[in-house]
Amino acid sequence: MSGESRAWISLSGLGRTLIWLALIGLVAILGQQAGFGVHTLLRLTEANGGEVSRIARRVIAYRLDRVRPTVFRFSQPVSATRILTQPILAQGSAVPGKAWSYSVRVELLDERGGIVSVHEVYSRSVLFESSGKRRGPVQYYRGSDDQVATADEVRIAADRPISAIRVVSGTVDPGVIAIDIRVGERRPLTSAAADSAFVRFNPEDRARLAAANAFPPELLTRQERSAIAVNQWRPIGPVGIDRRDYQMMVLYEEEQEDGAGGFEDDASASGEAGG
Amino acid sequence: MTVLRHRLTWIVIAMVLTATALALLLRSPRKEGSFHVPDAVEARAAEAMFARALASGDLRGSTDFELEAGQLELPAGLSLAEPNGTCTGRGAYLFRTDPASIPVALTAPHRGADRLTGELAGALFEEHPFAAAAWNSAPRRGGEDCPHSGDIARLPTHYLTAFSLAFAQRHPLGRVIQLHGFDHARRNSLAAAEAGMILSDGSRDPSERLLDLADCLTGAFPDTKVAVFPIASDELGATTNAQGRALRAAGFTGFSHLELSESMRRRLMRNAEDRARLAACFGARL
Repeated sequence: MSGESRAWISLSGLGRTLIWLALIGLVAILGQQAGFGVHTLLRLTEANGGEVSRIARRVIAYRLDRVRPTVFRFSQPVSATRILTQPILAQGSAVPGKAWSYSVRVELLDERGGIVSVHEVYSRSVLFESSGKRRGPVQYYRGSDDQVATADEVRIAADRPISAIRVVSGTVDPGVIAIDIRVGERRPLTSAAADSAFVRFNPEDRARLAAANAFPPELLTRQERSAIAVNQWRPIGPVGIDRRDYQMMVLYEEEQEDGAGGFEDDASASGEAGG
Repeated sequence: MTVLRHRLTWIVIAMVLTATALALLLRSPRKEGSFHVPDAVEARAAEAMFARALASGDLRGSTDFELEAGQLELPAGLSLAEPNGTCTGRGAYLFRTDPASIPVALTAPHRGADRLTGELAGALFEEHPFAAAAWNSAPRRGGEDCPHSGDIARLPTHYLTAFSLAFAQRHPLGRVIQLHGFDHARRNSLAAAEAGMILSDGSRDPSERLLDLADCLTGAFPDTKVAVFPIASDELGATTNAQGRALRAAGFTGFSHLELSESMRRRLMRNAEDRARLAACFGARL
């Protein structure tokens, strides 16, 4: 045993107690002054200790009409758009292995409303595979028993800048009672603004957006960061008034058991139209 | 030397643990505010007084709590507030006893600090027949105008909690709405920074009633991102909000904590039609 430790041991019991009390008191006061806030931590734990929502996201979708077109206007002329469509199936009609075909008619419009091009988009959607396994996340509309089939994505490029698109639903298989749509435009960012936008994302958003890269966000080049920020789709809404010119719906999506993301996985956090 | 260092390490760990326990014990809720905070007995009495006021407009007994009737100008209904010039943080309360009133209590516990929330609550109460309204009477942070300050949304026994509980008892299917304001530049996530409204009921499992309100607001303000805690925004969830916790403990599911961005607050104050849309959602499905 060294001489220093013997010196410690040689302190009287009273001396040691006094040193303890003084140090404890000092740390207690410092803890309070610094707003240690253990009670806050405890309250948080208590508050968060209950049920946790299984809802992963809420997004806005628009129900297409067969006759009246729904018009979506971009924030500025764009060269491409992304469209997500989902057939809505009558309750009980979704059976394993069954697929539903449907189409939507999309007109790309220039600044003056002239038609740039017309696209008949045919899709085939499945809800349950033959094995009975559900394809994609569980999605639903609150208060409705209708079933929401998996979303289909199409990206349409235009020969010249377009300012809006006009969409109507087309032919549908029996059992499809409606088609819902979400339309997106790329974030209108310059290269410099894109890099700044990426830097402004919080660490979780940056990590999520850079997940497809081999390197973590902090090792990406400026060009890679800009490309990620620019390559985010932002939802746009239709022109007019709800229930007169279009019908808005709030689509709910549940967390998947395996933690995988839903169809929106390439969309930014802001790609979700609601919370 | 090694023995001494080892021993000192354990001593430091023990001191930190003990200090934590002491800090926890010494820090009482009263430290949240320097103004008058009722104890549990007084809070229960205040709740009974508010219950009478909500039921029949009977304001007798309010002076026991240094709240005086008629301090506020009100087109219709009753008011309770602390005497002019006292600024002791007891809050201000408005009531409509008309049976046709909408069972919604609009509250703005951070009026002043959360800019325009008090004005917004006042405008909504004046323009729409909501049953009650309340806000803080002393600032959240101290200033020259008022010697007292504090955060009434963190005080379980404050009169606002008593008022909220009395309202929930009177209108079990109604809503107690707390209006707050947030600064998008201080948010941690993109989703919260881009939101115009962030809704929460103080839990991590939002109730159907909160989702009803969120869906209504989403439709009423299609150009605004309406986020729900914790689905899109993991911030501003009001999980430690004293009124929310008390109301949940009482079995009330109509507590709605609404955070508004500054641009949204300004827009609502500028535009009566937007306020009408907001009010319609507050009163929907009740």
